[in-house]
Amino acid sequence: MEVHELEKKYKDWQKKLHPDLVHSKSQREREYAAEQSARVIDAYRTLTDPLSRAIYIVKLEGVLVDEEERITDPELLAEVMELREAVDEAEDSGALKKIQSQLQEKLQCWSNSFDDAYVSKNYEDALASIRRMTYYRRTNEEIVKKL
Amino acid sequence: MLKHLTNTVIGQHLRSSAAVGGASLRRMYHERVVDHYNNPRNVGSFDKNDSNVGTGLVGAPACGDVMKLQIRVDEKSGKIVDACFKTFGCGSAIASSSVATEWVKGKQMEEVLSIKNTEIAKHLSLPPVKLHCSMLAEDAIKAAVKDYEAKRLKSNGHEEKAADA
Repeated sequence: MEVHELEKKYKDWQKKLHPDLVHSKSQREREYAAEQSARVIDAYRTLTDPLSRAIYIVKLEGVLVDEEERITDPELLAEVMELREAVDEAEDSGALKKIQSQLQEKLQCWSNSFDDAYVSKNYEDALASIRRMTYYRRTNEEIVKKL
Repeated sequence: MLKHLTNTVIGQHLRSSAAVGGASLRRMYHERVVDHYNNPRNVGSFDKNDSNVGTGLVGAPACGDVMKLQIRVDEKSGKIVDACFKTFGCGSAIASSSVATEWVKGKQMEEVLSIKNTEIAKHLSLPPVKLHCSMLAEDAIKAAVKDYEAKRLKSNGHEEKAADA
């Protein structure tokens, strides 16, 4: 599903379910609407973020991300080291924002890789994409802390 | 009435010592981790192209941790004469790699391969959820040794080729 389609569907659902619009209905109906509205918000948030979306999608296939996995991939780790060092040494918000936009690009690129891998049922590659996105997301969190 | 008074006094004494014991236990629980975090030993980088240097680079993607541990080995004795680390991650990961660099210094390479993550975890009183941080440090030590040995083999190979020619 495309992102703009997602937003339209989200707005449609919210029109039906928003608590403010159902105040004339019964107590039970209002509670139901509020609960569903919250679930729709949660779903929207999960699906619009490339990383949480990827994790959710593979979960539907029974593929779970290993929380305690350790890796030795030299290329990926060297790249992450470099990024984290750059963030550490960045002297102003301009430098940080530059790294941030690099990270956004990488996230988008690997989100596309994830889609390709998922569509061809290549779950090894799908998980590899998730690994990368997790590292980029984490690095972004460090930037946000510094800004 | 005297019995009641005695019980009350004893009861209070037990309660207060349990409170003191509990508080000092809480302090010890994090003390070493905090120490390594605030005063990390051996943070830094060696030249990874140096023939005496072995570099171990490991990571835990789910936490976003990345850990680099380097050893400088004396060629003749096979002893690790210096070590340094650079870790981006949680306090437990940083402390684990800091401890690892301390423990490998002055030891033979074969010796450090037997350093177990459980020893590091015990030294730092790591909770179960942080055990994998100590595993990462054990991995890093092994990777650094492996890297050094691979370098040695490669350079020995070149020496032999030169001798044949």
